[in-house]
Amino acid sequence: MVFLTGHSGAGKTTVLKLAALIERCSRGQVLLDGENLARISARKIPYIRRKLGLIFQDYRLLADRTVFDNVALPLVIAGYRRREILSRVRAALDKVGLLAKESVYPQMISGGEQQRVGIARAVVHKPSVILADEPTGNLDPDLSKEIMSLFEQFRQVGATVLVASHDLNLISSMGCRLLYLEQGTLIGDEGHQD
Amino acid sequence: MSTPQKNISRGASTLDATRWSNRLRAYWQGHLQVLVSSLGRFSRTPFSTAITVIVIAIALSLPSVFYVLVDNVRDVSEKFVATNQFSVFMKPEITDDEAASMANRLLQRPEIAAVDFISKQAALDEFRQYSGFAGALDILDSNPLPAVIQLQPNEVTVTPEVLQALILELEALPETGFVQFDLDWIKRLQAIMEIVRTGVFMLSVLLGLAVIFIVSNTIRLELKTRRDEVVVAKLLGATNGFVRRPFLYSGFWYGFLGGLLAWGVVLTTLFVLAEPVRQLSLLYNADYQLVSLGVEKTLLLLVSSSALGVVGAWLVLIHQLVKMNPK
Repeated sequence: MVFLTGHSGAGKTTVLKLAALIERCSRGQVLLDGENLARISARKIPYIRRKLGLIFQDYRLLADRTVFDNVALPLVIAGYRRREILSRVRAALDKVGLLAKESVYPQMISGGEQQRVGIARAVVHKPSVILADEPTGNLDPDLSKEIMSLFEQFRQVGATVLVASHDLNLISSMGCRLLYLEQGTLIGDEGHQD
Repeated sequence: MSTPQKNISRGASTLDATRWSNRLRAYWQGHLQVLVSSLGRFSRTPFSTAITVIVIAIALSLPSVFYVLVDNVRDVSEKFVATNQFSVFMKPEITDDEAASMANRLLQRPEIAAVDFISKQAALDEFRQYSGFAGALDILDSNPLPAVIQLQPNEVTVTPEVLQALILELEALPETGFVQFDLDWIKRLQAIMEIVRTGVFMLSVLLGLAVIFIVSNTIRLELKTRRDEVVVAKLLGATNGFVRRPFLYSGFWYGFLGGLLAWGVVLTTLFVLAEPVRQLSLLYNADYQLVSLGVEKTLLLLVSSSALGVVGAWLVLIHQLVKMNPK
C-alpha cells in the first residue's frame, strides 16, 4: 500500500489518471504490470482497465441501478456468467458489510456506505492494482478510518493499493510508504521498506 | 514416454474449449439481457417511447399502404385482362363449317378456357332481334354478317403479354376478318401504375431515411441522459462494443415496434377498405377481395424497419461514443 500526497494541483490525480489511461502521457513512460502504457493502442485500453480497481472521491455510482447491479458492472463488462456474478458480488458486498443493502439504490444510503459500494465494485473482479483518488475526501474521520482499514485488508491479501490523499494525519497513521508530489515532481519518499 | 505429455495437452485443450464455450454462453447471455433490459427501459418512459414509435409507424405505414394498394390494382388489372373475353370476326366469305372447325381448333389451345361459336345465321337472328332493322334485313338476299368466335382466355395461365401474342396470331390467320379487343386502356392503366410504383418507391426511400433520422435523434438524446453510465462503464473497462450494445438494441426496438404498429395500420386500412371495394367490384359483376400483406411481406416490413432502427442508432453511436471519454 502506497500513499500519494501533496497540495492540490501537485499531480496526485494525474498520476492515477495516467495509470488508468484516462490521461495519456505525452512524454516518458508509464509502466503497469511490466507494460508500457504509453504504447497501448486505444483498442486495448478497456483490457488494461479491467486489471485495475478504481475508487473515486465522488463514488461514481449509477443512480438508476441497485447496489447489487452497480457492483456487478465490472463482471458484466468482463463477460462473466450470471451464477458467478451472483456469488462474487455477494462476496464483495459481504466484505464491505453491505450485503443487506444489495437491492437498494445508491441515493438511499449514506455517503460512507456509497463509498463502500464503490470499493466493492473496485475489488469484485479481484484486480491486482487498486487505485483510489481521495477516497475519503467527502467522509468524516471515523468513516475515513473504516475505509482505510478496508484497504489494509486488501493489501493483506496481496493487492497493490495506491491511494491519493491530502489528509496527512490519516495517512501518516497508517504506517505505509508515502510519496510527496509537488508541481508534478516527486519530492519525498518515506517509509520505503525494501 | 510421450503418452503423458499427450494427455496433458489434451486436458489443456478441453479446458480451453470449455472456457471458450463458457465465454460464448456468457456473451449471448449478455446480449439477451441487454435485449430485454433495453425494452424494459422503454417501459420506464412510456410516453416519449410511444411518441417515437408512433412517428416511426406513420412514416412506415404510408409507403406500406400505398404499396399494398398498388399491388391490388395490378392484381385487379391482370385479372381483368384475363377474364375479359374477346371476339374473332371471320371474313364474310368463310362458311359456318369452316368457322366451327376453327373454333374447335382454338378450344384445344391451353391459353383458351372456353369458346362460344356464333354462326352466320345466329348472328343474323341476334341482329334482327336487337337492332330494330328487321325490315331492312329482309330486303337483302344474302346474309352479310360474318360468323363470330367468342374466346374466354384461361385466367390462370394468361398474362397480358401472352394474350397480346395470341391476338396477334389470331389476326394473322387467313380466316380472320378482325379481332375485337380493347387492350389499350389496360396498357394505359399499367403505364400509370408503373409511374405510381416508382413514386411509391421514392416515397419509401425518403420515409426510410426519415425513420433512420428519427431513431438517430432519439438515441442521441438518450445518449445524453445516460452519459454517466457510458463514462462509468468505460472506466470499468468496457469496450466501445459493450457501451454501444444497449443503444443499438434500443434502435432495434424502436424500428421493430414501429414496424409492428405500421403493420397494424396497414391491416386496419385494408379492413376499412374491404367493404367499399367489395361493393365496387359487385358493380362489375365480380367479387374481388383485397390482397393483404402476406407472411413474406410482413416479415420484410419488420426486418427492414428493425434494420433502419439499428442503422439510425449506429449512425449516432459511431461519432458520439468515441467522444465520450472519462475525465
